[in-house]
Amino acid sequence: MSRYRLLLGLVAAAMLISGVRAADYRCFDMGTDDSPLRDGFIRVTAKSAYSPEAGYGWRTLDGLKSHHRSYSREWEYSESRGREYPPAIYTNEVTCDTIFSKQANAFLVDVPPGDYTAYLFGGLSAGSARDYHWFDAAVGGARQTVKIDGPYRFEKCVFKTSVQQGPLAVELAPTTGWLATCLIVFPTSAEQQVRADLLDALEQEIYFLPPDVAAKWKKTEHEEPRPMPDFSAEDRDRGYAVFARHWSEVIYPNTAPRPQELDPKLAAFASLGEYEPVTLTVRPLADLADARLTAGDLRCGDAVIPAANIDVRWVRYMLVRPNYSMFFAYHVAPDVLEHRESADLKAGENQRFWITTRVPDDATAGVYEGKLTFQAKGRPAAEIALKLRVLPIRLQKNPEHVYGMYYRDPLSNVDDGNSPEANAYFARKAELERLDMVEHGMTTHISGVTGLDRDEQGNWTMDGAETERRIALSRKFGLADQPLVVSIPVGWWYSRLVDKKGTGSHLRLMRDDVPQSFYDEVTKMVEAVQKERKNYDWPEFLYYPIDEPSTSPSSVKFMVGVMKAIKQVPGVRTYVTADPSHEQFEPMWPYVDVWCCQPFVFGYEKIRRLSRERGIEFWCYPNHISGENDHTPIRGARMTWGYGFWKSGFKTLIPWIYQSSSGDPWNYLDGSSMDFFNRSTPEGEPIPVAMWEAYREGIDDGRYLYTLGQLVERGKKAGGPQADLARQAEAEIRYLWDAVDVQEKYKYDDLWSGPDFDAYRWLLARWILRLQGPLP
Amino acid sequence: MTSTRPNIVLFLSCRLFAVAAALALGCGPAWGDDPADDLAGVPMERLVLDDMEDAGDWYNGSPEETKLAASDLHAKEGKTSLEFANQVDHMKGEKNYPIGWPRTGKDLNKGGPTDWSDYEFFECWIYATTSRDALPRNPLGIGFYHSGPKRSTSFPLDSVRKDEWTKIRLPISRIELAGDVQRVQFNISESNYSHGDQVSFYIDDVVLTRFAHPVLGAMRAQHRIVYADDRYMTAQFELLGNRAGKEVQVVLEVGSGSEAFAQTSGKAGDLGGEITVRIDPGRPLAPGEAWMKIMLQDRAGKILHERQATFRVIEGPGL
Repeated sequence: MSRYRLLLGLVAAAMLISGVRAADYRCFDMGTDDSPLRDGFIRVTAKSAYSPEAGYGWRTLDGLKSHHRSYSREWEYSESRGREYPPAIYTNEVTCDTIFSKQANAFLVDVPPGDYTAYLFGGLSAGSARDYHWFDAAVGGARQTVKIDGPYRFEKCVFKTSVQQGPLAVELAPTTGWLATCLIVFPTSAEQQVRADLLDALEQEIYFLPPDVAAKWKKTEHEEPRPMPDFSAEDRDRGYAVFARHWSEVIYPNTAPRPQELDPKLAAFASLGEYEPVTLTVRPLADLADARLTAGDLRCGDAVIPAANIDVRWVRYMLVRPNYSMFFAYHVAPDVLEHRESADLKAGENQRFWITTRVPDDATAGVYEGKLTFQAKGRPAAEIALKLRVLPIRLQKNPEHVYGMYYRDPLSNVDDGNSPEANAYFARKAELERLDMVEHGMTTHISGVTGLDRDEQGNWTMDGAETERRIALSRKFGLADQPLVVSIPVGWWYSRLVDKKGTGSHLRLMRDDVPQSFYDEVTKMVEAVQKERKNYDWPEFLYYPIDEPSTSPSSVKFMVGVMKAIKQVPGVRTYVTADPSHEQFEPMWPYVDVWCCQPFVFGYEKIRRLSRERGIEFWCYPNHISGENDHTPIRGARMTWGYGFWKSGFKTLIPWIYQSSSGDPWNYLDGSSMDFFNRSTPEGEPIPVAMWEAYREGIDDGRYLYTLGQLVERGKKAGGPQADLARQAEAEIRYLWDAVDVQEKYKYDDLWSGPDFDAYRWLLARWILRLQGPLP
Repeated sequence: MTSTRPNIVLFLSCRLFAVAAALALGCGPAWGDDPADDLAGVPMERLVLDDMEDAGDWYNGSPEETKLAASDLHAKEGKTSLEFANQVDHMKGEKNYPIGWPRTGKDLNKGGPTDWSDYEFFECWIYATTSRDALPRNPLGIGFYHSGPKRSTSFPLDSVRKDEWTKIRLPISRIELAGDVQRVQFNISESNYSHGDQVSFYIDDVVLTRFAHPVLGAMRAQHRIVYADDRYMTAQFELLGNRAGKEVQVVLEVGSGSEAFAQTSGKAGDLGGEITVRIDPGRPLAPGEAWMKIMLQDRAGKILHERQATFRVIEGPGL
């Protein structure tokens, strides 16, 4: 016994010396009286007023509200889609409940004097896409602003403070409203223990998957086929190596540089007004603290492209599924291109940087030189040369080609019931995203109409105000200069007028006995829309009644009925997302004006012939290089938007979708599908992904092609030596045409290397320079 | 008869290898020699998964629309093949998926080999008959299922032809978990067919194969088009054959016309599927066509196999 007491005494003494006491951290789970309570946490409700006896609580109970929504782990069957889906998010005892308010308040915790760390998690496990939470949290003198749009997201604030006397106060100041989900307070010296005891596990549950769900998912590691090269003594001494590979070729955390890629000199060429990317990668050979990359001006004699025109982004690795609709498998892949001031880098994990230069429209042609500087705390800096040849070329876009995106317009979230701040956020997001689309070469996006109504007598009307607000904004950015595809609520009205079960996804619940009277209603619906279209002078509408009908006989029959009904209205055209090569869709042909399908079907000659003979258009929604992948088919994306599009004969590219989020938009493993494509900052600014940049580069490939094609035609007409030159250039275009190995879907395989794309582009550029003469 | 233990025999490869090799390397064979031409005589080893003399191991995943039987109507090897006969019905079948996926498969975890990582190709023969004038674009698919929920690798079998035997050869390197193949399953997608279509597939001689000695499955120049001042040329290659082949030497030569102006070599196992040679800076490439050649050499220096690819050289942007 005495030996036991001695041992206890020694342990207690050791703990006193270190300042750590086992029970010193305080964990508070904010929720309702009976919402689940996490083990070891203290329940805090909207009635938990501070008292010295309790040692914690709210400064005031005014305006406090509580929320609780837990989700079962059970998947739910969707009748409409005919399959099961997981819950929206995986809640735990902490995230299922929250206290919130629109009034300023503070949560007080009695602690002995000392240095403390406070983790505050805030978010809601349910809500609407229209929600926008904006508040400040402050502890001591430190303040952090939190902005969360929509539900399912939990932001974390970490504060370090010193408490001399009185309680530790977490001040909560709403702009729209604050959210407190849980608070963990501990002596800063105990952080390691707190992490081991509960924080790491909690964060895994919130930002990854809870353990019971994670057990069903399997992680695949990227197998690097190449051995690591011998790094130089200089690289080993400074703690990192720098290498560069073409931006369209994927770099994983463990990708080994080729020896010839080390110590790179970055080089690119670009035309006036063009955006041009290059990348470089730092391979840390030791842990690096406070790493950063900065760009200097690019200079060519007296001409300068300022550093402000050089956008430096960090490539962020995400846990991705192999495809947006798959479950239970994931791996690490590069995806999001973020702005960061600095970050700590781990030894053995690559960090790639994406550098995009915007060439001014009026830049002087020539070779510009500058440098990028990489630094890390306590390490020698590295300077990486960057050369950019600016070409005296003004690229033209083929007016026959249309580039667009499916798009969930944030303007649709602007609502009288929202706070002014929320409405301002969504309005700003809508502007910034449209600008982003234009800067990436887009000329249109999918739209929709709202405000349709039908009275009991069967009279249809449309209040076009909200539709006008969206179209007016798109017009401002040049995104409504073409015929606009508008989705009309045929499915919604079917569920009200024919069968409340609805049509089902892909018309899987479609009945065989839809009465003609319903189709007559569709005609009246379109008449109402057309009337409002004239009132507001909207562009031509392409009517899009149903998305991706199936090939079942009842589905096709319904589509024929609906398209026929739409075309009863004089002069209107129809748009359908269906593969025209499926023989089951044959009956629809007389009523379809625009076929939009996923693969490049039929081949160039047949597409052009059918377009000409039938006066119809073929569009493509290449989802295999938007969401249906693991975010790495970058070269496939470039080929699709550039040379592949050219050789397809199609008129338009319009994939689904500019931004798709399910559950937490930063957790790709939760929710019914993987989040994909562009992300957003809390201020609504677009955060691009690598594939989005590849779209622009493909469009630029197309611009070089078209610009040269125009010069060739002009040259041939000029006759003489110019015509000879033009014919030589034309031969190069034919060479390029033959070099494209046609695929229905360009994705991962059988593609050119990244530098090949650039070399082919250079082939076109040098002929443009030869044919065009000096710019006016 | 179904195999209960490996049955390795030598077998001569066939022309369909070209497609498979291209798939495996992720490149088209257009830039290098056509692999099929010089691999036709290379001995191959076979492991029989099922000779289809008995349909008993194959399950019927869609009994309302599918009939399975050992059929002597069309047999490629032996007396019978597996007849996978379907009557497409867009109203029947699974309750939630009436337009579904009639299917048949075999579980390998009951005695068949599940670790395919030592082999290079999955092969079988398929003969199709149908009431339609022609098969649809995607007549049949195959899936290889791994342990764990919802893990599989699928391929469309678009090359299957009506009223003739088609050889299927799929590179095992394209199967996600080649070391863990628990089930093979063939399926049709009813959405590719019209209601009432009848389509039957006769499947025979299902095997795994590999080359008996090292060969270059495919080879390509990393870049089809290079600048005259580029200093490094890389060839990518796929090494196939027996595992011991990884000890062979790979030699890369680059040249134009009849002149080779750069050469390098390395151990195949160290190279990770590509080899790079440095071009002397004092010797810029001349615009036009150039070539690169890869040779496999054994320890004695004997050339086992070689391939060549061409690429174009152009003047660059001077950076």
